[in-house]
Amino acid sequence: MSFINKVKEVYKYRHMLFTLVKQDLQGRYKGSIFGFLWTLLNPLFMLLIYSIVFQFVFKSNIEYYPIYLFVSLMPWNAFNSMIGGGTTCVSNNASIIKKVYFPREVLPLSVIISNTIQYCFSLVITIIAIMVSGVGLSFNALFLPLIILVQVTFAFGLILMLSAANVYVRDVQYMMNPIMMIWMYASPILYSIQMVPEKWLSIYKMNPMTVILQGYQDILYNKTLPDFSSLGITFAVSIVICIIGYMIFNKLQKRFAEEV
Amino acid sequence: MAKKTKNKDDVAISVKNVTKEFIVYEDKSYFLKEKIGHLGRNKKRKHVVLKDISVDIKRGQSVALVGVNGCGKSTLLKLLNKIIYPQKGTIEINGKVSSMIELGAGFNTDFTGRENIYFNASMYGLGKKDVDPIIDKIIEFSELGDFIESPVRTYSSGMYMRLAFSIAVNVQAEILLIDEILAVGDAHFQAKCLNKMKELKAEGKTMVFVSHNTNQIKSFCDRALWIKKGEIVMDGPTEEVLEKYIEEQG
Repeated sequence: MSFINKVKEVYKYRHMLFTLVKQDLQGRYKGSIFGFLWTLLNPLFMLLIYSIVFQFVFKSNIEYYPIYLFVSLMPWNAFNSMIGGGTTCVSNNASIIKKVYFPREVLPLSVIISNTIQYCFSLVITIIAIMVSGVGLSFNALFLPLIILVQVTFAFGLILMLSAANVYVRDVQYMMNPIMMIWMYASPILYSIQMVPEKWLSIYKMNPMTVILQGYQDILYNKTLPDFSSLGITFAVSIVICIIGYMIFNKLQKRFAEEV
Repeated sequence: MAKKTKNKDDVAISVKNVTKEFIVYEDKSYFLKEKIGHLGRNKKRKHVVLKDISVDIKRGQSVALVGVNGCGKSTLLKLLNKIIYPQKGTIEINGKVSSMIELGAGFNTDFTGRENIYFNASMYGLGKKDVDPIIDKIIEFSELGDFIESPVRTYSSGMYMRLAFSIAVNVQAEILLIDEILAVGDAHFQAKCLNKMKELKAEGKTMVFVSHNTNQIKSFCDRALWIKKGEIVMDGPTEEVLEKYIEEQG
């Protein structure tokens, strides 16, 4: 099936996509008292712990450290749950894949959309925190959607590959835990990029998440323009990853129902 | 089969030279360690389920697939539904498909019956606007009454199937793929289902039907395909095919 036809077909199944997103957002905390609030409470607790540990125990010298963390950790958390949920999105839906036809791309798409929506909620909190703390908001924050777009595109490309691969080799989902942990410490989240030794910097900056996180830090924390050229390159790389991811997904999906 | 110049619009399902093989693993390995461990050992073999099958089904026709267990009937149905893909050959489907291969497959049991109607219908490409006018019909047909507002996990298996069936027959599909599912609910509901199927047939829907119940087949299929070991051994009017089939079964 050509790419255009695929897009048309996914559009035909948009209702399914929306229902999956709705179910994910509603169903995630079904039966809990705080419900959707957990989406916001979880990262808040995480922030609190990191702030305490790094500010008072490790004596981080970054100014407004909790805000720095807010600005970096929220996007990372979103990325982390996109990859986590995305990797298993096909294998966890074995029951419907075996029994019902629908364009399989709907599954990774729904993970991306529901996580992006959750992320946008947590960004509201981030922005409130920035304003309350005295760091203040500048017009540079208007570039936020641009950086979110780069991040989501990058994550989607990875999810296409990972979700398809995980159907065939379940190790992928377990491998992703340590990988994401290493990746987190290899990105400027808990510390700032200034602390990275000069000789490693060129390699360090090849990490797409470094560029994306720096983008957030620039517009929200440093209140400057983002580095458009680096972001542009990262976006181009993300598109390439999406194309490769789509080809892999498309090739592997024919046997999903048999392998899952 | 003499008519070569068929109008393309008349054919709902066109299967050409389809071969389907399954790879059968002696023990299925999901993990890399096992996969590597199994390398070199002959742990998998190919099993040909369908051999070079070709068949055209016209619009409005009701076709029964008969054959013993494991002959490839259900595989053919799954191929028609695009859940699995053939190794060789092509399958063309003209029209919207509603599959009753596994009823209620997409139900999310934490959600209510009503919510699941919207979700299930969305798998057939129906949005809220399309479901709203028919939802009362679906609920009425399912005879679930007030239970429609309860989570599906509280349903009995009969209620579950009734809801699923009611959705599947009401989504306005042109082609229905039915696998052994008319064992839904009690005798009263079964009779109702059969009537509904006949109604749909009268409306000119195309149906492909897998069943071991010869009475059901006779009562509404005009044509039967007898599949044996992955090949179509007989194709013709239901009565004739069934007669031969039952004869061979002894």
